[in-house]
Amino acid sequence: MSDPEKARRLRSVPDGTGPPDADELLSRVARGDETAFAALYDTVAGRVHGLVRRVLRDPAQAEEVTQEVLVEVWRTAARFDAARGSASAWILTMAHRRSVDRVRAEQARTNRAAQVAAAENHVPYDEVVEHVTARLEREQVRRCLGRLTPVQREAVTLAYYGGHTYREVADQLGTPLPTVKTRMRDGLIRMRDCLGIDLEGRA
Amino acid sequence: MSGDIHTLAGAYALDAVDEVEGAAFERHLTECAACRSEVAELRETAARLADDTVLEAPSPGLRERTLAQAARTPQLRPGAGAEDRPAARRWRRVAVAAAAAVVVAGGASAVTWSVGSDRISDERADSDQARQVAAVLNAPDARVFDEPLSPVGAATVVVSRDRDRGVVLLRDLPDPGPGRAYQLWLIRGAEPARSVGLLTAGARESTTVIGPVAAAGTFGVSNEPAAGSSAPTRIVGLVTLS
Repeated sequence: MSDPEKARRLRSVPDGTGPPDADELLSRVARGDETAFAALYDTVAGRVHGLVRRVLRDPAQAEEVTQEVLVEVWRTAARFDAARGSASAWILTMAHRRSVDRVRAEQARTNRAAQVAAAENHVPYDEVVEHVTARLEREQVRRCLGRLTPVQREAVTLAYYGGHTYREVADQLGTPLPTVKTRMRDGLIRMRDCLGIDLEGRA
Repeated sequence: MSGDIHTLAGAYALDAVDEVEGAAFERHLTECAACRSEVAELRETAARLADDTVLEAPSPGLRERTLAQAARTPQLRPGAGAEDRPAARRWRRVAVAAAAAVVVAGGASAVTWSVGSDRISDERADSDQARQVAAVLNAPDARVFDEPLSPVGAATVVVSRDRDRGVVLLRDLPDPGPGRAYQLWLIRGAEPARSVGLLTAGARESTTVIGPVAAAGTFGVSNEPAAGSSAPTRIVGLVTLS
């Protein structure tokens, strides 16, 4: 694959200028290193909180869940298996699942739907607090998201940011279930290739 | 039918499956190395979507609270026991839900439980039914098959040839119509379909234990009069058990 995005891979920070590497910090956290945990917090808390808030829509709940997730990271750090993926994906997967569980446990769906409609316009980003690396990564995600077909993008974002099941997505779009499943998988595969994600080399 | 469980990889990586499917899919992952690596990469990909959500740093108070709580929280040792793995835990929850079952019908050759919801009762979880359901779900040779139904709904069938039993999970079926019910069938080769269960009239979801399954090649669901039929008339879905 000669995709130019592949060359832009940003999974691990190549020199000392970026934020510390989450994988390395997590392995220190697993040995009970509280300083490493504070550094890990600074590295991932922005994304964990951003994601949780995007799914939950409620600032107070978002902080609560962010705290829960990060304490869980501390508690279970020794169970992380680097061969199966990156530390940040492990943490964000946990954050996403927990947010989604909470959304589904609550029956405040209609309420939330109204808020979604109102909140969908983009909030200006605070460029100042962002690392350059983080901004580049975000741009890369947007660019790659932009390469999906519109229906793939719709299915992926409704599920991930909206916290909806694929059945709910199929209902909302009036699209058959197998089609929605396929769009989600094909969309993610296309994004994976665009982002140059390849876990083969991890051991 | 070719819409196998494998196509759930994307939805699973996005956490867009319900509990039953998630558990079924995790079960499938334990026996499919290619699927595990695909899911790992798709999860990695999905996690990158979080990069685009950062609006502002969370409050400084959150940092303090989190670090303080971590400092008083004991850490787990490396090496999760099987009992502690999310897959095992989720699967067991489903097993318990499936086992929170009410006996509605039993034919000469079929054992059938049906459950209207996933409400879990601890007392029932200890019952014989629970053990039999768990026996299927936890059988080393258990395999999971998943198919959409027509026009809507889904069937997940877990089959253990060793135990000669299967567990069928049906969800989101359309209303069968007044005075009608869904009936479950097993089909072997060219032989007539054998009825292995009949849901309560009007029921739209169920967890049912079926058997014997040893030689059956296909599971089917049909829409029938509430009393059931001797042969399927209006088939809404077929699941190939291989």
